[in-house]
Amino acid sequence: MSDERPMNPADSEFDHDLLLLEAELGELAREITEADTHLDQPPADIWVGIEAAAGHKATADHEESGAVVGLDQRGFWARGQSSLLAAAAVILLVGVGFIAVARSFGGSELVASAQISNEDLPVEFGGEGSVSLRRDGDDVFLELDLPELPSTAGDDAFYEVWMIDTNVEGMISLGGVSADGRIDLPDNVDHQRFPVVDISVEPFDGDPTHSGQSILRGVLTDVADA
Amino acid sequence: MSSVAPPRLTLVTSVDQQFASGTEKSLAAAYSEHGALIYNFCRRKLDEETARDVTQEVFVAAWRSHQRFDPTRGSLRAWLMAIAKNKVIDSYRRQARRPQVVGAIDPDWSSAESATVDASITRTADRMLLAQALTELSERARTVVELSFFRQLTHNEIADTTGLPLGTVKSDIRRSLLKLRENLAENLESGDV
Repeated sequence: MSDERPMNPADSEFDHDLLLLEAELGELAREITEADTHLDQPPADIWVGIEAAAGHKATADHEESGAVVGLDQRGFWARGQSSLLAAAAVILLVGVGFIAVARSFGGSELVASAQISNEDLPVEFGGEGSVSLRRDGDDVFLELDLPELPSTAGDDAFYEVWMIDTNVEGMISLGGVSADGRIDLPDNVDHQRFPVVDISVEPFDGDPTHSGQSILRGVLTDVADA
Repeated sequence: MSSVAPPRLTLVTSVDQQFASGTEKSLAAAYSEHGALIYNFCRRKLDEETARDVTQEVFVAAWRSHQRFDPTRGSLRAWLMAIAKNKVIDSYRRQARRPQVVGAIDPDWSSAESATVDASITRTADRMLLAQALTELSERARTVVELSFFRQLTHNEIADTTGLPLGTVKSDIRRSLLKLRENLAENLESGDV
């Protein structure tokens, strides 16, 4: 490409290749029209088609196995159901080598429990743990007994707890993993509707939706049914 | 529970890196960030229905080949645009093989050789990529770069115009050029997708 502007001796400190790049991109930039910069929003059905085409196999796998599907298959993480709860309950996990929470909450009634693990999740850490759903008067909470997890210090991230329905069509953020392992549930949360307990790694990117990076997951079973 | 300290967790946070890794959220994130650009590029060159189909094909093909995307070689946006460009060219060629051209395609196709049309499509893609990348520069860097690109001022003249030290002008332009180049790098081998 030609550079209409001659290379000025004052630019001599500048790398020659960068000067050529500057000239080349400048020529291209001068061709930019309004049509190049004005972007209309694409019709919504394009994404629907992409999602269907890209997620078809995993959805079929879910239907065959009855397993909890991956979080990407229903697109619900893009809907932002959890922003207020997540914003209110985030607890930063910084400055510690690992977390290993296991506390006893005496006097409460065990309602449901779950074994949680990284089985079927694309992570090499996390191990196994357990979750108990307990009731103490009007208070309902989760008691987490988590394996040692990598520190998120310096990674600009935290661990977040979610309750999800088995069809992965709805989810509730319960906020960050707390130091004492207790996660209070908002009033009127039906754990039978959202029995899947999920622990994810969430970057501090301002996006309140699930990152898709689950590290532990299990399904609550009522004590009465056990 | 294990008493051995677990490995540190390394988070992949950029959409480009997440897409390369095939993480669950990255397809939607990629579409959210680049869907409008790809669709509008397709729409510039194809009729409405074909543009929709090609946009969808671009993202599905990219997702199925995500492991071939290397974020160290260029941006995801440029990679998606390279796929789109190839698919638009393929669409032109398919239409050209038909007895009658269907749809309102770019007018330069009917009177130009294939290579010319390919070049036109490529130039449009590059212009749209550059236009997007320019908007993502910091305000100061964009001002400096625009004085270089559009008013074609020398670095000294830009320094005089803006009041910025010459070294700042040069470093702003250097960083901006490298960033713009990264955003235009195709990062696509022939037959990759």
